[in-house]
Amino acid sequence: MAKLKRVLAGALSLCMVGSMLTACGDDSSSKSDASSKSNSSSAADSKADSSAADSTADSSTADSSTAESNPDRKNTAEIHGEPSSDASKNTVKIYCWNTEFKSRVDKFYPKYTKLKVETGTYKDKDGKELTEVKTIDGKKVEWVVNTNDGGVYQTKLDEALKAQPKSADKVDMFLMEADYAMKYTDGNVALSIQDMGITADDTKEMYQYTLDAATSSKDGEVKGLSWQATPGLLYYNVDKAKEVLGSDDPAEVQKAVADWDKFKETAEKMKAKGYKMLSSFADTYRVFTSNVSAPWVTDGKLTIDPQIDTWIKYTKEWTDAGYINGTDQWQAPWQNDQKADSKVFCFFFPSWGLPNCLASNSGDAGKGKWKGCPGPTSWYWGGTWICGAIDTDNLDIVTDIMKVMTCDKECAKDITKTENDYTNNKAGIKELQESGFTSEFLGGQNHLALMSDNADKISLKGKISPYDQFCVEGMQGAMGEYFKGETTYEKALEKFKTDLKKKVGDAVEI
Amino acid sequence: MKRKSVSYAKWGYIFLAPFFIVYCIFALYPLIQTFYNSFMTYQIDRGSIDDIWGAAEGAKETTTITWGGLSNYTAIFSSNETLVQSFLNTIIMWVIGFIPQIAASLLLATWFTDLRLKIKAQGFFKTVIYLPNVIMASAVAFLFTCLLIRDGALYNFFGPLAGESAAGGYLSILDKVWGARGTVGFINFLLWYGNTTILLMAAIMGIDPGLYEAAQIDGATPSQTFWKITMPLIRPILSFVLVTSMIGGLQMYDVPALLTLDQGNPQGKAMTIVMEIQQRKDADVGRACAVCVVIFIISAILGFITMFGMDDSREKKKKRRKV
Repeated sequence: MAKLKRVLAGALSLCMVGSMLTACGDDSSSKSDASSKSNSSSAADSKADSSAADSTADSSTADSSTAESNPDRKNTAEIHGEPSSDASKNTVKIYCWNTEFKSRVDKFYPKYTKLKVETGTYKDKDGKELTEVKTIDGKKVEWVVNTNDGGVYQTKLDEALKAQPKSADKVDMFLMEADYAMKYTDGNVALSIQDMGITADDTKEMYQYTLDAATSSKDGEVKGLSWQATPGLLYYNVDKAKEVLGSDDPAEVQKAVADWDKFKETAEKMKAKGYKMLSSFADTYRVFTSNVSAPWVTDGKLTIDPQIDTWIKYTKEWTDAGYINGTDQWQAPWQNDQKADSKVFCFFFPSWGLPNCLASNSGDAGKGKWKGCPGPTSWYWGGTWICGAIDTDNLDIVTDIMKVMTCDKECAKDITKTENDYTNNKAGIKELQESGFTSEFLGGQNHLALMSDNADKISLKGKISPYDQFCVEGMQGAMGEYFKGETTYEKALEKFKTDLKKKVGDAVEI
Repeated sequence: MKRKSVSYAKWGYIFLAPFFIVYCIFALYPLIQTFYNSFMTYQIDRGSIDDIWGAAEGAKETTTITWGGLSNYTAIFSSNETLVQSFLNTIIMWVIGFIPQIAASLLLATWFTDLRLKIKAQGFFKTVIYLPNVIMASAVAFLFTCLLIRDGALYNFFGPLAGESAAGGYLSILDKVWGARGTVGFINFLLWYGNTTILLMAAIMGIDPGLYEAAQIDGATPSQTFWKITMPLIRPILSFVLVTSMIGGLQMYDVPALLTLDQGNPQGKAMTIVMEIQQRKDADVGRACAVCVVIFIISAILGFITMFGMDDSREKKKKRRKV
């Protein structure tokens, strides 16, 4: 009996401890409410402290028209939550999903900034020694990398940004992709570039569409800048073009792929020689969706654009005819197909695909083995925008990184020259073209001319919605099975819809 | 009043306390919250972000939480949902992995403990058998994905089994329902048979060797010793293995998710219940919690059935009463 009593007493006390702890949880949130109120005065102090940063912002607000027309307008650089910790003040925290931007910053930022940058070295996975930016102006640079797949990056970034007002550890900068850029431009989480002291003069050489895509539909202000424009081209294998089409001249090859009918004829010729026209089912996806008339989601409703149906129809037709190798995009076999001696004739890639996929996957042996031509239609794919987070505690550094990486003409030219990337600076691109710059990887081809033709035609207006990533991933996954002949179109479409429903919840009517 | 003896019990409670405190914070409280949330309509709009700074006009709340009653449960069991299918998938894939696992483990455990067999270099074999369990499940799943997908290293070897593809050549066996399920089952078998072998060996070694010697003297065959002595006496451990494996099987996630690139294909036949939770957790928290509760209840029921089914203590009690 005594034992039972002890056990009971123990269990009860545990319950009490448990209930105290649960109560603690509630308490802390109400406490932080109270503390945020009491801290409003200290927040005001911190505003005064950051007057140095504000002075640059003021100069820009003076000449920006929005500020004059709207007296209620809040300067986004002046919004502050809880004061940040010293550790946070000494760290530039950048959220991103891969190392593309980091490698650009590591390589080019120290050369073109006026701030004091300290660099160090690290070894990449091949054991090659590379330089990286360690500190800017004495502040440590910290990269928070989360994969884009399945919306992981979005979820992590959302959590960090939502916590920003009450956090002492501030996010300073984040990157966003076209598939969900709208969420952050409209979400009032990114600084307006005018409040960072970036003027219309700084951005005058940028492609207008890169500014439009980062413009908030709520207040009409630009929230982010991109260092790249993303026109797409068709890249074909030189050897196979010579063998099958008789010429590897871009103009001649273009004739063979000028529209989808010709594309199909060429595919048939490739098949006769034992080659495949394309590697994965998803390779042409963006070529079609660049020309949609409505985004995936409008006013909370799902629409499947006729262009997507066309992609499904053609891809199924070509798969059954044996033109597509049937690999999975981004997987190792797909990357191997980009080697010069693979059996695949062509790949559709946007500007960033040239350095990051084709050049890196084909390696040194691929040099001069691939060339570009415009392909059946002009198209683009995505793009990456850099945003300063509201309430950053390193405003001057964030501004400087954005200015150097996206507005500096010499930096842009340098990136295009050494990295094969198509940078977002029309004047820079033009100068390079006039100076007779050609791509070494593309066997001395002047690909910039082709790309800039396409870049002028890009418009993201009415083509993007914040849910695109989930729709695209789901659609490609579900339709893959239909293409392989393992399920019917109706069943694949139904699977796409049920899966999407789970991923976006009731926010989208499906 | 004078104490009769010194009580050490309080020290027991003090030393136990850290575990229970941590358990309450990190397991019990979230568990209660999961039950609570499963009755709420808890939606997060992934296409927008809360207007945390209060500057934009007409910004809508990203997260909505309202009382929903049983609506989440009716929703996840509605006819156009995949939950029941996913549950079946999970059970099938678990069975595919568990049957060879328990068979191989019993065989290996009997051999290693056999008095007459005296296998040499036992330490080496035991280590090798256990090694797959040391590797992360996700790493093994990723390895198999790389081997089996189209144009992967083993594609040409297994492709002919999967048949012709519409794209020409063969399908990957991961494109076939039996292929994907079989691979998941095989990976689970590979990862866990070593662990089970060690557990069963411990159980067999706990049996009084005198019984085996007596059986030998009486002329029992090895199979008779196995079925009449080993099996009945390791039943408690067998039931433990069965229950833990079943609960682990119900929570199967990393292997099928990586193997099917998060899609649960072919035709959603390799989707497990935990994948259902993972798909929903960022947007539809209420329904994700409802799925969690369903798994909890099923695990509990299955656990009880196995415990009572395998437990022979009640029979013993009856016998004792008769005596």
